[in-house]
Amino acid sequence: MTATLQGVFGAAIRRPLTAFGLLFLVVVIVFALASPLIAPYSPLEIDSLNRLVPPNAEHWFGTDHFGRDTFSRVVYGARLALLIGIGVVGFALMTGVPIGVVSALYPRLGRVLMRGVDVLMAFPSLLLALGLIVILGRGVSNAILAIGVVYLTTTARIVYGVTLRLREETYVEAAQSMGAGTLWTVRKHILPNMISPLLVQASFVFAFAQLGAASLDFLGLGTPPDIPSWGNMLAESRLYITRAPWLLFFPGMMIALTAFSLNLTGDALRDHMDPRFREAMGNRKRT
Amino acid sequence: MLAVDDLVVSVVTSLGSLDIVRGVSFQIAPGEILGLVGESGSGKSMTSLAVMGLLETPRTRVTSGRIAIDGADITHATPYERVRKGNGDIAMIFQEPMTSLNPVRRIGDQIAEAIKVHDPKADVRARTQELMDLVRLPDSALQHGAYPHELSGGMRQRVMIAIALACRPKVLIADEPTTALDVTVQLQILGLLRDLCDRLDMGILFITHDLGVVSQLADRVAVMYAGQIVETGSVRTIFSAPLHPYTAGLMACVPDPSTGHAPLVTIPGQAPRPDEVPPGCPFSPRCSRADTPCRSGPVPTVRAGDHAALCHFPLNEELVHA
Amino acid sequence: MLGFIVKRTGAALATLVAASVLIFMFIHLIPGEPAAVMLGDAATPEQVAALRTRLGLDEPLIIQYFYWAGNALQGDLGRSIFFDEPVTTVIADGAETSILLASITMIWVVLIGVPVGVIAAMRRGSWLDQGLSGLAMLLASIPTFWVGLYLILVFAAQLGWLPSSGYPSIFDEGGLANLRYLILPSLALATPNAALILRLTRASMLDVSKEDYVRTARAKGISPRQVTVRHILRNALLVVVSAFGFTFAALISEAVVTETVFALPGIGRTVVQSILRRDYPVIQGVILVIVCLYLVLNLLVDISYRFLDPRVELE
Repeated sequence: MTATLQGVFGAAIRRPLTAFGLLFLVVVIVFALASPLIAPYSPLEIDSLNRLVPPNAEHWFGTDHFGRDTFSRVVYGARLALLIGIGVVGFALMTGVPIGVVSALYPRLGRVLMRGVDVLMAFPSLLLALGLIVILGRGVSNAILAIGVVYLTTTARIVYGVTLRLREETYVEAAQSMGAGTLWTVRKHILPNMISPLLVQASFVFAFAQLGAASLDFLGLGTPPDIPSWGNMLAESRLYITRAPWLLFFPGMMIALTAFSLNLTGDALRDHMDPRFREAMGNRKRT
Repeated sequence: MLAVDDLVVSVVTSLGSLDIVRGVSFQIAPGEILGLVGESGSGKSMTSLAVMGLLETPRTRVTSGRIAIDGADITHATPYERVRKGNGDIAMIFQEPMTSLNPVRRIGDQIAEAIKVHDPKADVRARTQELMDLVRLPDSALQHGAYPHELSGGMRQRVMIAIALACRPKVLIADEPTTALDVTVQLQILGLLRDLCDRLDMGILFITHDLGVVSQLADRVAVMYAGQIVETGSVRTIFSAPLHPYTAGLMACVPDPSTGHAPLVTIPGQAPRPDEVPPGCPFSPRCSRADTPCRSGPVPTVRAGDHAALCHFPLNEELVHA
Repeated sequence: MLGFIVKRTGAALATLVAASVLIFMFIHLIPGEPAAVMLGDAATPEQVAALRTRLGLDEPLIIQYFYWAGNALQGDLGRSIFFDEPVTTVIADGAETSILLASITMIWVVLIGVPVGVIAAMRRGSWLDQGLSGLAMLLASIPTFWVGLYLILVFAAQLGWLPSSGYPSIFDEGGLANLRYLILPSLALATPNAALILRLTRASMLDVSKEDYVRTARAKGISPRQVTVRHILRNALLVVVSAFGFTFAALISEAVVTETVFALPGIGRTVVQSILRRDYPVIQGVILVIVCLYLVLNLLVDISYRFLDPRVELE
């Protein structure tokens, strides 16, 4: 774990792009945690006298068609980005890890479970999320759940692959032959070794969750429209793209750079990961 | 004749340049098999890749010394450059016949490719047949356009040898070619190499960690330790009277076929990593005969006939002449 | 070979059956009485009852499934509530747009992603490689609809070179020239996918170049270009080809958003509109068709992989 983190910071020094990614993530986190301190205006404050004002000294990122301050809305949008990311990653890990581990340890049950995962994977990801939104209804927690189910599948597959590999390793076999219980083996040998592959997977899922949530927002099926999420801001900016292109630029940039930073982090983590697991991670082929 | 003179191979790491091969010299005459023996990490594979021109440049490269075939300098040349300059007559076979053939191309195509590089006008069919006969591959191996995975390990190593022979090599480098094979198959391949060496008057650089194999196959032996050749001589003299304590230690590790049981003797300690080679004689920390002079300064070369070793206090001292 | 095809087809069929159960259950998982939900608040109890009967909602679930699946096998996916037309007709209306959009996008993905990935791999470690790899990572992180909106802003609104929305059929007036309506949408859709294929191509080229058989090829003395083309590229592309099925599925999925941005009359936009219209039979039908398509594509990729890579065992 510490070795992995050291690896990432080491990579950050050697690779300026990774340093940029980590720095940008810090900015997003600070935006989210301290939005009221950073945002100069309320994200919901309507100012009918200052509609569609281009970026200037008072409104750094300009204003929208209600006169709301875009910079303040971008800052508050970070809260939602973080919430969605943490929610989706949390859900994917809390469901995917047990499914993967159990499937690898109990092959008979595993066949059924992984078959179920295969069936879910037969649905293109956005369509699966849309179908779940129809069943669950629109809303932040439902968006998290819908996107979470999509990444439950990939997480379970990776955990399954890694656990199978670990199970074959001599020390796990040795522990088992000496009479170690399954739970003990999982806690002592399997889970600790899974931390670095899971960190990599978590950063990628976090990135995909941003893009997925933005798509749902854009289609009007994600975060309720009164909440300032970056996706909602983009959806609203559509009507004004020629008159107020800044409305398009800033939230889109935030989504792209957040996802980019997370992908960079995931890549740096993967480069420093145990080569035994790289194959299980990088393999998107379904066989 | 292949002549390697004072070869130094270095790896560039983030910490600086590190010498893996530190001044290696040897020669191989036509029809002669030189066994290059050493533990993993001793620099024997790097030496062979340097001769072949397959070092992973620019990270790993020859930093000094000279490699020549029949007088022509080929020190930094890749195989492609050698072929274009008419020195394409060095070939190499590798340790893993399982992975050394392209899995998605037919065996016949892979042999034909090698033939055409060296002789674009060759009658590929006839030449392929000739090569297959040389390595004693049954015709069935090529029928129906077989792929590598359809052949056994021994057959694949024969295919590799056929590919290597396509350039009519003066020197064949064999890097642990039998390590991955079954014992019976090993013997067949070794027999084949000896036979080819004699029939084609070809020199072989045979790289191995196994002194037993060398004693059966080679004419001469060079023992490598920490990037240097510490002892060299004919098989007979080295096995009857080794000079270097390391060579003697290696020989003690070989199971004795007459008694049938492995003696389980080991040399204490481990071979040094390239970044931790001790000053003086690199073997001194593990050597029971080492004394003060061994721990610093240059190590003298001692000779007994054609037999030479780098050592202050050689074994069989009575044979050494000044 | 035949055994392999039969086995893979069987597995795909099993997945399809399981997926069809999920798709069938979809309408029953929505909270509330399905018929009432579909007709909205203004519906009279008689209308609801009539729809219940029409959809067969009074039967036990298992019977309903067999009716539904049986009809689907005969090409009857039910009737759209909104259009009062067979669902198959609604899907067919959007099929031309979606298939052309996905195909043109796939052309961009292959034409840009593969060669640029090869170039990056051949110049590994150079500034060009680092620049291309970084750019690919950035492009893979950008939402397609954002790219789409910018393309509209620049090439349609400001330069006026290309249309920004809609798509008249190539069989209508204008003929093949109507394909220009799909240029901007396909570019938007291709952006992240070409970037992903670029990264995959580069990574698998680098993986393959470390293989022992590449060293054998170099040892033969063939030229570096021949080593790359004959030994590295061909083997690396095997991995890339196996990702095409996956990519095509991603295209179908992301086309939902792209078709909305560019107001294209495709299947994706139909899905979104049907969600807003609560036209559930259409959603069910589209998802079923797309899952089928996805499974068929993956099957074809698996089988072609078997042809390209003799190592894949005949299970």
